[in-house]
Amino acid sequence: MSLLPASYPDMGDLELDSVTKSYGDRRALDGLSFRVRSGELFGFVGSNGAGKTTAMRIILGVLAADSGEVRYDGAPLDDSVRRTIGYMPEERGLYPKMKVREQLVYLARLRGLSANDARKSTDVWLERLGVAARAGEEVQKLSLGNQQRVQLAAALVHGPRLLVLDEPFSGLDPVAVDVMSDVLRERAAEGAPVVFSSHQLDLVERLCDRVGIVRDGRLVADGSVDELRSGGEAKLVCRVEGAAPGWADAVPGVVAEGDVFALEPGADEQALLRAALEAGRVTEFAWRRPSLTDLFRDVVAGETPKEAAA
Amino acid sequence: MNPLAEVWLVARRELARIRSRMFVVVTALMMVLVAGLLVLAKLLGGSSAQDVGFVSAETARLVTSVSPEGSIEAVTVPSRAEGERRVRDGDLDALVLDAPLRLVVKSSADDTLRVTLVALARQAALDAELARADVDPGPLHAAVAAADVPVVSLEGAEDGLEKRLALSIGMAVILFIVLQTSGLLVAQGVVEEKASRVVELLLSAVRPWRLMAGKVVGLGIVGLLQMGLVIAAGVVAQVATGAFDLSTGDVLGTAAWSIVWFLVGYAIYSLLYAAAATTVSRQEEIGGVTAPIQILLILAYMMAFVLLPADPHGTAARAASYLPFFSPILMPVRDVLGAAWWEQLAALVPALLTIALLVWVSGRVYRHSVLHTGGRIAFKDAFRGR
Repeated sequence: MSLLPASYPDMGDLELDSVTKSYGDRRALDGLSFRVRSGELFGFVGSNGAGKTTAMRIILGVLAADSGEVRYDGAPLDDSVRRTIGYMPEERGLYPKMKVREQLVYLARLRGLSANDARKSTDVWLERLGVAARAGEEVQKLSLGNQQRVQLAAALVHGPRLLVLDEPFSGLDPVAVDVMSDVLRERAAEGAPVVFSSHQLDLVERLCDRVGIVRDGRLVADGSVDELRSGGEAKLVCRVEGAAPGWADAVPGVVAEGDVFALEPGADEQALLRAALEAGRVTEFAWRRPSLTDLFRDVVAGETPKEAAA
Repeated sequence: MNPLAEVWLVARRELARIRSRMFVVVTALMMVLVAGLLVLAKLLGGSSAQDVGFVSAETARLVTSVSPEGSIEAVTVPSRAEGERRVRDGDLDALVLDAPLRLVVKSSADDTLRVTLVALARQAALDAELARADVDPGPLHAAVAAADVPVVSLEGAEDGLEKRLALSIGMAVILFIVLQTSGLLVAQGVVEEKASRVVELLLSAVRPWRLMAGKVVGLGIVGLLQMGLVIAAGVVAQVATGAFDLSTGDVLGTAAWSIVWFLVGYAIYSLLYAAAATTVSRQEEIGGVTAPIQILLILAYMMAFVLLPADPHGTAARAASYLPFFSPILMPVRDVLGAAWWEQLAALVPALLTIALLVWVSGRVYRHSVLHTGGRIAFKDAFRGR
């Protein structure tokens, strides 16, 4: 069942084509290109300052690109389509002294809904997001969690045909995270391209059809989670009881990181197994595919893991 | 959505202020104050009409026709006894009896009324003598009626200047207060959107200039309503009490010019306030960044007190009242003091040109700085767009 008031039968793909943007001497986006297909959930990850927020602001037209183009359904994204985007900016914000319901109706109307549709849709979303009881209160009187829910309602109230959400999960309680995930899946199932950024990589891994990793304003990895993981460097996990430290040092082409071993191209995993058997009792010997977090660390190499995981 | 519909949508949100307690209280207070001052002026004015009782309606007509305009209010009483009772009660200021003319008062008579009655009595006596001498009084009456004493005014006629000065100062105060409060509301509205960060969400749906225009138009309507109500209270009080010696046409003309100049002044000052406010991100910073604008407004206000009363149509006053940042206060004040209508029109030209320039400059500054958060942006950078 769709709770969305308006639907657009002609939902298309969102494309960024060689978008560049500089702030003074600093290049924030350096020829960023990617495509989010209709009905696809696209996770946009990258370390702080990689250019995610800038890219989203350019999609929304809040910022102008220096060069390159943003297209929707094959045509340059114009104001009439922009108005239908559901947007959650990195910097959350609503009118603190405006009542919740009035505010959502106003925002829906700014995005082109009639007064009547705006009111209906506002009530539907307040109910669904569990803040209907607060409809008549000023936003500033709500708890932070409820303010986040209203913010989400503001992104959805006009039945967007494209969702662009900057860190939609930050600051949400687990229940709200579930509601948010459901809503994103549902919206994608109806055909909208959905782009969101997040530092919660486990969530991205679980939720997204495709992931793009951005570094220094450029897309450095792009694919389904499985594709990315199989393309990443697989490692061997090998646990040996009673082995002396450095038991595997003699095996050619193997780099040990505790119980995890990276194999250089051409290295023989059987040689490692033989060495392990000689060293002690082998309790585990298995290939491990990298998690998104591992990939992310590899891709943003050069940064300390602490920063990358922040 | 077409641009105008969008601007209107944004403007309508601002209209909610009309229902706010602040607006209602301030507006009501100003209305009461203005009407109250007019009633007070009337009470203190003194030269109010005398209530005079007449036993004969014909005498009432005759006396009224030869008395200075507005000096007496004729009341017909059924009998002498009734009239005397009402004079004793203080209900009537005087009672006029006929054949012969007599003036009944409580203690002492008003000079103007007495002089008028004496003239009538003398004429009646003269007519009686002429009739006895069998002379036709007609030509004599005509000759007497034609006699007049021309007044030579050495400095040109200034009709009730003192009263007009009081009125002009009231006008300056109202304009100053309404312009100042509406301008600050615009500044606060702009900063509220920046400080709460809602502006990014808004800008993803609305072009910056439409957002700014909507705010300025919306709060302009609020200010216009306030100004209109206060002026209306003044007009009603003036027409009802006749506190100032002005014709209703003059009163309406002055009211109309004050509304026109409010709109012009609001456009100029709200655009300045909006541009200044976008360069900061916190409400506390508004005071500092708008100080130069407030000083301009205060200067205009002070000139209305200092420069105009001394010589309202002299070179200095005239020059100042043509300057765009001062004309919205000085011109309606000079209108009260009797400036010609073409001066109002002439002063509108530089003011409207300034508005056009400010729409461009402020729109640019707003567009460049509305998304900037953090410290204050230098005006120069905001204008250039860094």
